[in-house]
Amino acid sequence: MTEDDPDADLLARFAAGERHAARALTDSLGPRAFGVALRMLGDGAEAEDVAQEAMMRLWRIAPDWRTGEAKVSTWLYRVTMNLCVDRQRRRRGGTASLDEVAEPPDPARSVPEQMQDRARVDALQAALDELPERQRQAVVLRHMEELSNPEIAGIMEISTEAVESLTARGKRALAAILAGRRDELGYQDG
Amino acid sequence: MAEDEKELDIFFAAARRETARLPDALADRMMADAGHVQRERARFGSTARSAMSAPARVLATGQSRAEGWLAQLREMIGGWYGMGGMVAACAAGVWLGFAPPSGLPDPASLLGRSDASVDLFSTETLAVVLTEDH
Repeated sequence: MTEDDPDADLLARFAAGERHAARALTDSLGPRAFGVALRMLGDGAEAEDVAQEAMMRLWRIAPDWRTGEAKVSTWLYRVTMNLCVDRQRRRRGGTASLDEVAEPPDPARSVPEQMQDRARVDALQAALDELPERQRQAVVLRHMEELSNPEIAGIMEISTEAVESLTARGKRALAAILAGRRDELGYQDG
Repeated sequence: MAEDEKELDIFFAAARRETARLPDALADRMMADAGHVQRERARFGSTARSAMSAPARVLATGQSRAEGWLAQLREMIGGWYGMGGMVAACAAGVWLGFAPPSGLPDPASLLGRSDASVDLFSTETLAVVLTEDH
């Protein structure tokens, strides 16, 4: 029953009082909640608050979790997205740089390559911030979290066709925004 | 268009390579919240969810505000049990007002009012009155 969703098994063990289950869930789901909040909000401190609150809701719902209705990760993504939307509607302001968030250096890439990656990620984040909310959600979940369209449909509570449409429109808009920085960011060499 | 998408993939790939690592302090706070929830649940059992107090940091992010004034009132008077008792007491008070037991005075007379019947047509019947209208 929980074979399809190991997180549901961990959640049941957490509800039964197992401390190790909390550690495993934090390691498994914490980075996903934080990562998606970071991409949605573009602000490290706010993303931390959202991720912590999303996990807090997970801890609280644990005893009432009904296995088989939805994947725990799907539920957590949905909660995180909703919290991000609440934040965005409240603040209506600018975003801070992602530079404040510690990123692990990738030893397989040279320093110039890492610098280029950093420039591209910053440019992508700035472009994402210009997208309408639902397009940004779809693009982040599809191309950064690498979720399937049906899974995104479950998170966003829309049809798979609507996900495809949002993603396509979001990518077209991103391409148009980033086109102006083609030479500066070096599109050709990956 | 396909070329644009191919170029976009370079950006997405860079973002995926820079997958955000969970900050240690945040992981610690998540674990502290988990421990807090587990301890409260162990202490209060099934009523833990209503009795549980959210940690200060979560309160600061608006968790309690989202619950609304009704939830805050409910917690203030002791949860659903307290709400049930208050509703029952109110219903009993309303019922006593409508139908006081025989040993108690009528609430209307305590307010200086009394009900009395007045026969407006002591000598005439309704049929006679209606006849005179024509």
